[in-house]
Amino acid sequence: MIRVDSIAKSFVSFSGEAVHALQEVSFETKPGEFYTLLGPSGCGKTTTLRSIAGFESPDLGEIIVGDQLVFSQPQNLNITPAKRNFGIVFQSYAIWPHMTVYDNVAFPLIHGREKTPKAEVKDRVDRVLALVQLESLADRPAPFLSGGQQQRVALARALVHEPEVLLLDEPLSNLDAKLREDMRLEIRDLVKRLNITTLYVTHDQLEALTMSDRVAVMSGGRIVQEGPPVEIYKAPRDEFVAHFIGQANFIEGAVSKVNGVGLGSVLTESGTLQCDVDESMKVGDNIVLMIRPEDIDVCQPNEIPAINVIEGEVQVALFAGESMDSWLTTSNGRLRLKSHTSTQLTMGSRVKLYLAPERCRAIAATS
Amino acid sequence: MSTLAAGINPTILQRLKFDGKHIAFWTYILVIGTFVILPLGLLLLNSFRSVSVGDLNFYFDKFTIANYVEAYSNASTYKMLFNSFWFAIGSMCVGITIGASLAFFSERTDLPLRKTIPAIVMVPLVMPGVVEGIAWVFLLSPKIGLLNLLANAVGIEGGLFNAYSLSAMIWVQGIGMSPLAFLLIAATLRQMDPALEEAALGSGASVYKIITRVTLPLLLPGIAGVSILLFIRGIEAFEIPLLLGFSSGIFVFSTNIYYALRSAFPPDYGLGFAYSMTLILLCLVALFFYQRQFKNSEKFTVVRGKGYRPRLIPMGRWRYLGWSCVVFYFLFVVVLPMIILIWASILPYYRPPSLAALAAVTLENYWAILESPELWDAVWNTIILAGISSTVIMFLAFLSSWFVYRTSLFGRKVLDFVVFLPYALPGIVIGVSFMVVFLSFPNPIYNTIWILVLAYIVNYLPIGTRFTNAAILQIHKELEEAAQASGAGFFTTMVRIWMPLLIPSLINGMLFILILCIKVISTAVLLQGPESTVLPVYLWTLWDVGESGMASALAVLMVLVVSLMMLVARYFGGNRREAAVV
Repeated sequence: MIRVDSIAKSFVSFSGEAVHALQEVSFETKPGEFYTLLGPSGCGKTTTLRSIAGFESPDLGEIIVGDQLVFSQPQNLNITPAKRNFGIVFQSYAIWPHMTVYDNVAFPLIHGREKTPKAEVKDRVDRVLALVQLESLADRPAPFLSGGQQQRVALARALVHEPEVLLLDEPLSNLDAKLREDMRLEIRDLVKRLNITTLYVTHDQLEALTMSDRVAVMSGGRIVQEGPPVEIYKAPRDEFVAHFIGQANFIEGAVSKVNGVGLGSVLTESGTLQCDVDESMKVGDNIVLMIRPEDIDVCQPNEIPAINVIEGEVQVALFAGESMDSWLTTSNGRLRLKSHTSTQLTMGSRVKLYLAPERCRAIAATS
Repeated sequence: MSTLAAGINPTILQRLKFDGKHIAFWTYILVIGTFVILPLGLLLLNSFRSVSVGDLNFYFDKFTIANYVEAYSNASTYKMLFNSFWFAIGSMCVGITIGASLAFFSERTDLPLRKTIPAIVMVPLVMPGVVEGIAWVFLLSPKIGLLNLLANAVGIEGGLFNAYSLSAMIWVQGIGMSPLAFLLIAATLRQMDPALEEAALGSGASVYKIITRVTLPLLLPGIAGVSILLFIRGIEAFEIPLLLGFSSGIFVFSTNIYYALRSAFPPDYGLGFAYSMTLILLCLVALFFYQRQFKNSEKFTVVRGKGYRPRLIPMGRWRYLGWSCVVFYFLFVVVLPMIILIWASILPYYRPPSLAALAAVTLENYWAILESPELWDAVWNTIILAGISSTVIMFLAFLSSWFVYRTSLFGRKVLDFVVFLPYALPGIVIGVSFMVVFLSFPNPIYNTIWILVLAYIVNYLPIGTRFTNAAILQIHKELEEAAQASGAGFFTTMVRIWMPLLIPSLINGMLFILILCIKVISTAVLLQGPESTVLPVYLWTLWDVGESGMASALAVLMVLVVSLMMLVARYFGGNRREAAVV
């Protein structure tokens, strides 16, 4: 498992200013867990991964990989990457072009930490190549591999010496969409079978949601929210997380009532709306009410609920294949909807929208 | 608590650490800096002293500007300046015209067989400058030059062409520079976004309008840059002015320096140094303009993405014109010089081609040359010079590229500059500066092969770095990190990852420098001694004393050797032609 304890890192940019790549990052994975660092470019996720690998050295904090303390600023300890126990797949795959697939995968066993006896090497390489379904390409020179094949070679090479920890740095971003979809399932399936603790870094929220046991959303060198994918999606803690994962509508308002069991009401431009309100909020707090486009219902003319109904005029309605995507103007601003394709929405029509209370969530306003 | 974490910028002192890497780095800069800067500094120093043979030293006494005054109050200096500029500009125009036309046909038209043009254009590169000069003397000699005789045959009497004239010099230098012009302009043409022209086409403009209003203006910055580069080559040229201008008193900078320091009796050091410093200044100014222009022309290059084809202009009936240009080039620049050289080498003494002369054909020149002990001394010296300097250069170049591109050491930009500096300076000037250093104090190096080795290392180090820079930049950092992640230590990574990926480039660089050692004489002429003659200078000596038969035979042999080496280099280095033309 991996434990990162309050690491921080700054460096000086070309223009001489200090850049705080990591402000204060701490997390701990459980053994065998698939843990993802998710965030936009520059949030510090790759710096964190590289610090765990040892290619970067934080200024503060401690890092434990497996059961080995690999970095500790207070103890002035910084173990070189060659002596840490992990496998890594780089974004560029980093397959050595002057070797064959077999030589690439065998390298850690032959030139790595523990010199493996020759007979064993072939056995282990063949086994791991079978795992990634590349047995037939063992003698292929590296330059003649496709992107997807290179990625599997990288994976095989990372796994061949059976590390406790696997680090993956945006391994799917260079693949085309269809291949990416297939590889998402394959990678997760593989690491779960081998029961390896996996740290995955990506900016793609779909990868994060579909592959991970837990997701840590990062921004500006910090973890802003950590939890299982469902929680991150349904209960984002602030506007940034809500906005970064999936799509979200934000309605401004202020808390008008708190029920104490996580429910309450907020007062908005179009009136009072009932929603999920966190216990920590108080009446009068400025909030934004978040609701996902797929959670807004268009009311049938004869079935209008008693609460949480607002009026809207359809500005744009687009057929998107699997859904009907539309933008509506309301007194709460512009709302985006994602409805079933059978929904009747034509430009200019006035409709009533229902925002189910359990699907609305009050989040602290960031302004 | 680290100052970095507290948000304070580290001071310079904090960024300087004292570990092995830093010590190696600063030692390296010191050594290289000394060998590059010290000679130039001494040259500058001594140009402001009243100097004479046997009176060069490090002390700054007897300060005087007499050298410069003497140089610039002399009418012949201004003649020389005029010649130099006219020569540089003229050869630049010739080179650009030929190079641009051929590049245009090769890259932007649908001329059939245009794919052969790049190969054809590269052929003249196998001819050392001295060899080219000799060939064109045979072709343009006032009385017996082949082209003059052909002109006579069609009724144009009295020496239409004169090899020993400024125009001939301009012509020969120009065609010698056309491969470089071709390469660079072809690259510029390839980088133009066809969409820019297609937009004009979509507006209904004619082909002529498109070329004059869209294509040419976009190409102009790039072509201007190439022109400046050719100008620099022209102003520092030595071999052609030596072969074609020297004997009839047409001097340019480099030959005038040579004259002052070697030919004149007694040698006029003061004049030689004054001219050298002026030439350095000119080259640096021109280089400044080149760098500026280069940055300028980058604005217009729009290369993005993959699989990208410029619009081809259909030639239609004009293709006969296109073919004529290519054939003309091939005949004049490649075939004619080689044929006349071979002809001259198989006659005991030169006679214009005729049926009668055919009877006198013999291989005695080749035997004479191959049996001459001086030749083999020269060959041996050249092998030592080329072998040692190319090896040392590639090693130093590797270190330099490593420091500049693979570390974050403070001061590596300084290293980059120091290593690049000799590139901007003419070979003759580097020769002069080393001469100054090693005549300033008693040492066992002057007049031996070792002074040449040192001078060549300094002269060609920038070329070595062009190879190693490209090679190192292509090795992604992650290839190294993947090895570390696999548990490999420093040496294992070096041996198993770095070396195999770099060796092709290192060998390519070595071969290229070897070829240069055979082709170029400007650095060697001032530094070689009686025991340390090198091959190209030996060729010049043979020619100078009138052994034209033996000289022609040697010329042919040298061209064969260089051709072989270039083929080997192509095999190793693939298609890095841009690096091949320096």
